[in-house]
Amino acid sequence: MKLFFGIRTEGHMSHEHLSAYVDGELRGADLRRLEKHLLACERCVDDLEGLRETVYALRAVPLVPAPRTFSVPRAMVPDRAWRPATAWGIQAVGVAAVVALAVVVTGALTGSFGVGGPQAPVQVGMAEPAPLISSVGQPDPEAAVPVGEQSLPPAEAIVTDVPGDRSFAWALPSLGLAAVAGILVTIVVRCRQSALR
Amino acid sequence: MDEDTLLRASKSGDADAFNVLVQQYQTPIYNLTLRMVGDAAAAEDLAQDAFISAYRNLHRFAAGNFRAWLFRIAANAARDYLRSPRVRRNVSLDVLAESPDFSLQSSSESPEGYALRRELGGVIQDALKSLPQDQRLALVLVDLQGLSYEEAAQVLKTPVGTIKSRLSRGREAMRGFLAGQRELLPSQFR
Repeated sequence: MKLFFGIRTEGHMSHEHLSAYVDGELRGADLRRLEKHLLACERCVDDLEGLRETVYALRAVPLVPAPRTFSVPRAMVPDRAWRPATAWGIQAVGVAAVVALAVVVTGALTGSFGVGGPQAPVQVGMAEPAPLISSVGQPDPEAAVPVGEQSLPPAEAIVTDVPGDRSFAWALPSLGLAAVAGILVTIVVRCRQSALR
Repeated sequence: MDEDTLLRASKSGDADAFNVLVQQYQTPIYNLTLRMVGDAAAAEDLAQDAFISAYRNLHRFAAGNFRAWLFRIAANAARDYLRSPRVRRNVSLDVLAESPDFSLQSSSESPEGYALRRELGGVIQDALKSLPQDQRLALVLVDLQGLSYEEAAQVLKTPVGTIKSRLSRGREAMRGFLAGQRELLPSQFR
């Protein structure tokens, strides 16, 4: 248990300080305190001696020679670097593609690119069936078709919405989608760059 | 050629230049994986994987301490191996004592002194196996491989204070283990 600066409650130096001292890694006030303490504490001197013997034994262990060479094959080539310019280029292409897609989707939904131009109404439903038109002259009872089974006349558009309103409603989510996709592309590229660094 | 020149050539795809670096670092890297996993065959594979991974990902090494970067790749490979279920738990390093030319001997050392150190290596390896991975790695890097605290901190991407702490606890445990195995230690180290 330590009080502070590596001094134990019993009044002895911590092993961490003794260990750093053996390596010459203790400096400043900690070093002065330890050296002063060693002059008066036989137990810490013994601890230090034991630690020195352990470190001496560890450092005496010889290196084992590599049993073979670990050369890489000549045919092997390093992976290509993801240079910042390349990364930004990919991000820019990704964002541009997503924005273009968002614009196309928005345009298609609002009819901005469709028939009739920006002011044209949007056909969102079919007209009610027109009244049955009989041939000129006398009505033919056999030719008469029940209302529910007759073929429908050409549909007519019903104006239910204004293009300007819809484009505003769809543009915001589309742009949001584009922004999120752009951020995701950026994150993916950055992750690849930082891997193994 | 110096290390920077070799690294530049390696990055451009010159495997021969990279293999000069491999020759330079293969013994320390092999010893790191060997002391971490305690199995010679696995250590060999891990060292080879580490060099291949380093070569492939060379573009990620911008500048700085190449040795620390290489050690980090090898240390991560060893830790991944130890986490994997295929690890054989009870591996001995008898191979260290069996092979007559299995350890490096300095030219100024007597054959007796060298034999003692090899014997010591076997006892230390058994002790290392009993340590938690983080303490073992700190001991291997600083005491067995001779890295500074700062360099070990770079390898492990931890603060120097963490290295100090792990090293201290590892040494304390090692001291206790060696105290209980005095009869196995060469007389010079008792």
